[in-house]
Parts: sequence; structure tokens; C-alpha cells
Amino acid sequence: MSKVRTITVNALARVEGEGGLKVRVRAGKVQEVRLDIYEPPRFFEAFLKGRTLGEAPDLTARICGICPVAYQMSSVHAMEAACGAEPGPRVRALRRLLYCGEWIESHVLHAAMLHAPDFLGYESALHMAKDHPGAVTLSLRLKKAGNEIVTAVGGREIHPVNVRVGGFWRAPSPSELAPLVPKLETARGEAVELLRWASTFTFPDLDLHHELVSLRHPSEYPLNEGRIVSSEGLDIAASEWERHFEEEHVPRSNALHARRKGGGIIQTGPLARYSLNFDRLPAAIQAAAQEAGLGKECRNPFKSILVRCVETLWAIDEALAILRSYEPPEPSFVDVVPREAVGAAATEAPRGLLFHRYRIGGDGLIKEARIVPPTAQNLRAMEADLRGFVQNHLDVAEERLTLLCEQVVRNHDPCISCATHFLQLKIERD
Amino acid sequence: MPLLVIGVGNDFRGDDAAGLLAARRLRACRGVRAVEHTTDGLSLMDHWRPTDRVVVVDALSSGHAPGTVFRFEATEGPIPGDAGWISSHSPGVAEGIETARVLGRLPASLTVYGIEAGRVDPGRALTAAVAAAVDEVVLSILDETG
Repeated sequence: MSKVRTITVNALARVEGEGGLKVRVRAGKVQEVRLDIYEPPRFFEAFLKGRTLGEAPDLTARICGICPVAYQMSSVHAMEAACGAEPGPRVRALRRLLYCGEWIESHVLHAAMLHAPDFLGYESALHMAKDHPGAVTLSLRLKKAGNEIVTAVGGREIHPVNVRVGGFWRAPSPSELAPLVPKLETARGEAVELLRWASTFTFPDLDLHHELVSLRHPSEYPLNEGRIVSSEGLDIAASEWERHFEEEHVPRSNALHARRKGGGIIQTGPLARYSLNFDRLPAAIQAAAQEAGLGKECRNPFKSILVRCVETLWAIDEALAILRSYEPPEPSFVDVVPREAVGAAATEAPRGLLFHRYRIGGDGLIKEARIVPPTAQNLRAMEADLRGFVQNHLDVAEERLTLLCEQVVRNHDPCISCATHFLQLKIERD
Repeated sequence: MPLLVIGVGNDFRGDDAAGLLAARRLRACRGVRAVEHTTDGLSLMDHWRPTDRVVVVDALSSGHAPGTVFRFEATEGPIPGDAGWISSHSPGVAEGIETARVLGRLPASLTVYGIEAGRVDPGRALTAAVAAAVDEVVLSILDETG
């Protein structure tokens, strides 16, 4: 007897952007898995052409309301690489502080408000708040601490206005940043509590072996610089990304799908960063991770919530370290003299590696732009996760399986808005 | 104690700027403390203290004629979550206020004005009907300050 089952989610909830999902099962085998990304194309790369290089951080920040700092960081690093500018250690520290604020804000929003309801069986954070008011209140405060860093350094909570190629328009004074310290000291305790709360959840089994890709720095947990490494031994400069990776159009998606040249499925984001850089975490963070049940490597995407909580804790400690030794860059930026060149950079957005490459002219205008967001790199991994998960859970009833499939996608914290150039769920069974 | 007016919206999305414009118009008025809110609805509750009297103004999209003004007393009952509050992907005004209710963090009074939007395309100016509705809401809020 041949029976077709179809699982369909027309509009995925608790993801950033618009997309759907369809799984088709025939005779006990998953036949087709597709993430349909119908959020309209954004055309950012096209309209950057002809703009001045200095406009890139403000224009690309508009790609995303959740991770604008990531776009600003990858774009300024790429422009500075093109023009041979080196803003120095104080600008670097201030950029890292700003980026930590975004990691805290983005990770807590996803872990506590979007992902946690999946594990506890709630439709949304609002429904969860009735039974878990303490965790929700704590998470809102924690998220706010991240927002406050972004506001203090970047000028406002979203789409910060203080970042420029070469540095910052204005460096905040030590007295302006000082009030952040006690707030982050409180936030640190809250982050530990959030991690402990998440570690009590039940995690479905799923062990995946995609090629993990992240930045790696000689001494630091990856954030705004480093070489691109992978679990398969890749070790390249950021500027070499296009020699080793490619993007392809697939008809169902307004987002490009990225992969390793030669066809391998890649995965970027918290699991990749953590598994490839556990040794770069300070001992106290390693201990907190292990106490929460994580090993030195994490291949179960359902446990990404734990890794996000660990990275939140790391970002708070990093921000505190920067704040305690903060000295404003003087001047707050270095002049960047345009030259005909190509510049590329990759930084670690909350969702993973964010690659930017620009070709600029001697007139300082952008001739060509390429932006590869982390979600585009993870789409194939998401489809593979769904395929593996559904195949192993065919006995699960329709409604429950549909929810689990949505969760499989949410494990990746996809940002469809960023990738569109993405989510809903359709599971079809024969 | 001044009336706290929170204007919610996005300056770059046509009629979605209505709440922000209302807050700006009230900024210099006596008896009012006006703030602009451009991020997700979950952080709305950070603006008020338990004893505050609060007015929130935002655009919404419910299928009514552009410029139609809705008024809800949030302290008396739930904000209709299906009223189509405009928010691109992140939790909006209704979710923020209902989360505050569940957490016991509503202020002493909370009035919500929703202005039906006409067009919210990027880069567009306010439509005439919504501009007139902003006037109407501003006058109505000033009446409440006594």
C-alpha cells in the first residue's frame, strides 16, 4: 500500500521574515523537503552600486532590524580592507562592545521568546509568560541590557547611526559608558539563570554532520575577525570565501542557497562557532556550558538554545572586560582614502558568518557588492535537518510532527528577511 | 503627574509614522511627556511605572477606511490582537501590552489609539486622511490632560 503524507506549514511563525515549509513522504520515505522563501527579493546588492563606500554601513544595516550591527561591521571591515585603512585597537574594542550588545539582544530574543516556547509547548512567549513570568521578566531585562549597549555606543537601539568606515562618528566618553557596567553585572547573573532554565528542557535526538563553518581567531572566541575554518579542515582568509563556497538559485526560494564548492552541506552559526572554538572560551564560560550539559562540541541543533545562552554569557563578560578598560579612540575614526580595489570581510553575526565583498573605484563609488548572509548558508542544512528528522519520526502524529518540523527550522534562528534575496511548513505524506 | 504619550511607528513607512508624528506634536505641550518608540512591542512596558497614566498611539491595518481612529482602554480588557497592528515581523503593540498584563506590569491607566493606515510603502509621505486623523488624536489626548 502506498500512502502519501504531506506536512504543510504555509507561514512559519516565530522566525524573522516570510517563508513556508513542505515535506512529502511516500511509502515510508521522505521524498521531498522544501523551504519556500516567498518574502520578496530585496535587491540590496544592486542598489549599493554607484553609492559611496561610506554609505555602505548605513545602507546595509537596513537589511535587518535584528542584526544591523553585523551588517555594519562586515561592511566597514571590507571597506577598510579595500582601502588599506587600519583604525587601531581602541576602535576595534568599541566595535566589539557594540557587537556584543547585538549578540545579547538577538540571542535572548530568540532563545527566550521564540525558541523556549517550543520546548515548553506554548504557542508564543505571551502564552508562556502566564506560567513562566519569572523567566520572561528576566529575559526582557537581559535583552534590554543588550539594547542599552547598542544605544550607548551606536546612538540608537536599531540601525545604529554612529558607525562609519574608519571608526565611529563620535566616541562615547568613559562616563557615558560607565552606567552600563552595573547593569551588565546584573545581566550576567540573569544570563546564568537563563542558561540553567534552558538546560532543564527536553531535547529531541538529532545528531547531524554538516560541515561546520565559522571564524577562528588566534586567541579570542570569534566575533569580528579571524580566518574562516571548518570541521573538514578548511582554513582560509575571509577574502578567499568565494574560491571555496558558491551560491545557487533554486526555483522555490527568493534566497540563494550557499554551499561548499563540490556540493557539501555547510552550517554556520552558534553550533559551528561553539564546536570549532570551544577552546577559545574562557574557563568560566566552558564550565557554565558543561554544567548545562554541553560537551566540547554540539551537533544537535535543538541544543542551539543552550549554545545561544552560553554565547550570551560570553558576550556579557566580553562587554564588561571592554568597558572596564575603555579608553575612547582619539580621533574617533581614521581617514579612509578611496582607491580602486576589492575588499572582503567576514564577521560573526548572531546567526553565523556574514560575508561582504565590495569592488570600489578610485572615485570612492561602489562598483559591485556581494553580501552572503548566514541564513542563506544554512538553508540547505535546514532542509537536510528536516529530511533526517521526519524520516526518523514518521510514527509521530500529524499535528505534533508539524510542530516539530517548525521547531527544526527555528533551531537555526533563520532570518528570512536577511536571506531574501525566506518561512511556512508543508508536510505531504503518500 | 504628566500624561505619558508613547508614539509607535516607523518614519520611513508612510502612514506607519502616524504614532511618531502624534508624539512629536505633543512634545512641547504642558502636562504631557511624549516619547517615540521605534522597536518591538515587548519593550513598551519599559517606558512606564506602575502609577503612570499612559497613552499609546500606533498605526493599524484592519481593513477599515484610512484615517479611522480606534480607541481601546487596555486596563479594562485585552487589546484585540487581530486588529492588524503594523509591525514588520517582531512582536507588536498588542503582544507587548498583553505580555505586560500577564506579567502584572500594566500602568494605572493605558489608553491605546489605533489609526487605520492607508499606505505603508517605504519612503511615502503620510496620506491626507491619516494626517487628519493624527490631528484628531492629538486634540483628543490634549482633552485628556485636562
